Amino acid sequence: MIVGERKPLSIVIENLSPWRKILVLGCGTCVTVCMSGGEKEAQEVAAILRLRGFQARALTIERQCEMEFNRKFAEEINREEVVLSLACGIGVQILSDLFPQKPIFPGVNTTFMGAPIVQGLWEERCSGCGDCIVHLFGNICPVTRCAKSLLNGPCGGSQKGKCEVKPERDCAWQLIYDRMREQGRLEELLRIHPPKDWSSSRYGGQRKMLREDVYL
Amino acid sequence: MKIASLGCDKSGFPALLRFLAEYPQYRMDVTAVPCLGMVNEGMMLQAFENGYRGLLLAGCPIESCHNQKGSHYALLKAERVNTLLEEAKLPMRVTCALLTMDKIAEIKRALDELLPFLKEREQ
Amino acid sequence: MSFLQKLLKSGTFVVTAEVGPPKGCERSVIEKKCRELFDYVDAVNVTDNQTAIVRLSSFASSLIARECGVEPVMQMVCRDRNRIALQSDFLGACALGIENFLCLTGDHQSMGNHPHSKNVFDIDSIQLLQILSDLRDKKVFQNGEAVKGEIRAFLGAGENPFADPMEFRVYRLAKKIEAGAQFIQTQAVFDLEPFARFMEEVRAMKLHERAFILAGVIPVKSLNAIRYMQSEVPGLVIPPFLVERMEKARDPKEEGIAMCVEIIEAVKKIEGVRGVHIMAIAWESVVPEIVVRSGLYPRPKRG
Ligand code: SF4
Ligand code: SF4
Repeated sequence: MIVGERKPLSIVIENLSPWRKILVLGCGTCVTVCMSGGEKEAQEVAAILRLRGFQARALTIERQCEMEFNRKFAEEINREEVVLSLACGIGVQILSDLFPQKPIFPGVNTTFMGAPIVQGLWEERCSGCGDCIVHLFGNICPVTRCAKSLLNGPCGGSQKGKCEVKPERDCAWQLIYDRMREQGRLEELLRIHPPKDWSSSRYGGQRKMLREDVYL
Repeated sequence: MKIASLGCDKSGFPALLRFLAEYPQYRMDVTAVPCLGMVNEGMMLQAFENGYRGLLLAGCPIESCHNQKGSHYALLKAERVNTLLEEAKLPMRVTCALLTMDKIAEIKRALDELLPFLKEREQ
Repeated sequence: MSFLQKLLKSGTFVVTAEVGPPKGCERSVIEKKCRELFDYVDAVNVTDNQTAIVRLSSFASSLIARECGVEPVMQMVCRDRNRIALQSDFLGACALGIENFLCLTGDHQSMGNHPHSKNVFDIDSIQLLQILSDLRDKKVFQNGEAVKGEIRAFLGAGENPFADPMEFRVYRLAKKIEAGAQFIQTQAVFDLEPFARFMEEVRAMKLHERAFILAGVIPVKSLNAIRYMQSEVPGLVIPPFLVERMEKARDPKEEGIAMCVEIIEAVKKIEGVRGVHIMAIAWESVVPEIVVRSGLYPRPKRG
């Protein structure tokens, strides 16, 4: 899932300051699960905006990153001056593609692709490198979870299972080592992994996927 | 300056009533709820939209909350609402008093902290 | 062949020291450090924006060292440059006569003085070793295209015997040697016992016959310094008894020097250790005394 954090309201309010009639648009999918932009949060933000003198209404769309879901609400969206979208950055852009005349502001900072680990804690797991090699590393992604994206780790700073960069973070390479040992596959870590082909990652520019068989 | 208070049936509400009887110089509207745990952020913000400047939540001490975690969650939610208000530079605040029925001093403490804060923000 | 490589091949116990470039463009800072070290070390390591703090580049500083007559070991980290820039700088350095290179992954930028920057980490230190040795031996770039010219380079790597997972360290060293490391400079040794164990593993795998291993040492200047290193510097493991020793010392500087000399004398006796690398960061002036007191003076004459 996509994980996002509520944007500080001071910044949201500053961005919205030239406007009066605001539609606070929650999203019912990922940001609902990570409790930053669902129905509940949309209601709260709308209430705060009203207390600050805006005319704000809250509405939640099931999935802002899909055009169809947004189309149904065209009338409501068109009625307000601007939209404060609490969806991830994808939702914000898709919405804007559909309503190009409408100023739309992000109310969430989209942070990563990850998962809820325990109640109240989410962690990044994948950077969408476009060429998944996670099986070579005990299914712990070194690209994402090692602070230096080492394919031949661990670096010299791994200490007691923690990363030198942020001691409250696990060293990905300690996890890789432990998992491979558990599977009796430590030998595989002796292999030198060659430089990764990053052209399939975002370093190659914006990516698209086309399926001819289903393309309309 | 309007102050609202919500008290749980078991301890907060009776304590609030006793407090107002003993200290008539304090004024606030009092409402009973089954447990503080059911008071969510939306309700707190609603109180502010209704014109209250301060909100006092009175409930059982965490260890003796009749619904186990009700008071604990109320504290966390109140803190969250205060963060939102702070970020939005709004002058309202929520405060909590966790007490047994006869410990009304705790209510006085909470209000004596809240009221000067709200007054200061008013200017 | 570089002077450093020649000495190691001839079986001389070598001495290298670290030279940190200044936070500015005064070449005199490097010149002064090189003058101080000239007689006492065989080569100097020139750090590459160490701890992610911006300094005069390791490339330029290496050239300045060379002009002072001191042979540089140019450090290259993967944090700030991708494979294009690293290969290009390597070729440039070779063209200008730099012959020793130390390939490192590099400290994370969040620990330095520009924590808001982006990092690169296109490749890691092991991949960098592989790329540079292929440029030299197979005469190809990373993409397989041919490279022109004769490359003379002596390639090295770091390794930290004290980091976790400890059981994997010697295997990672093996990977570095496999990738092309001809010499290794270890993280600073404070605790001799785990280092001796590490060297035992090294010998069991015969890695000491495939690469020259230089033990790193750091002279400690004060009680504060050792405490700071113990708690703040990632990858350093300092046993409590050494901190205690500094606490009790009447002359902490002298104690720090004595401690360093003792460690050098001890690692000299370990089979497979072919030299020492003295990292007297911001205290380069102490190196001559340490070299003399460790019985490593005079150094062989440069050719
Ligand atoms: S290897 Fe690439 S695709 Fe696979 S988990 Fe890591 S970043 Fe994601
Ligand atoms: S400590 Fe571990 S996770 Fe952190 S940079 Fe080093 S290898 Fe990567």
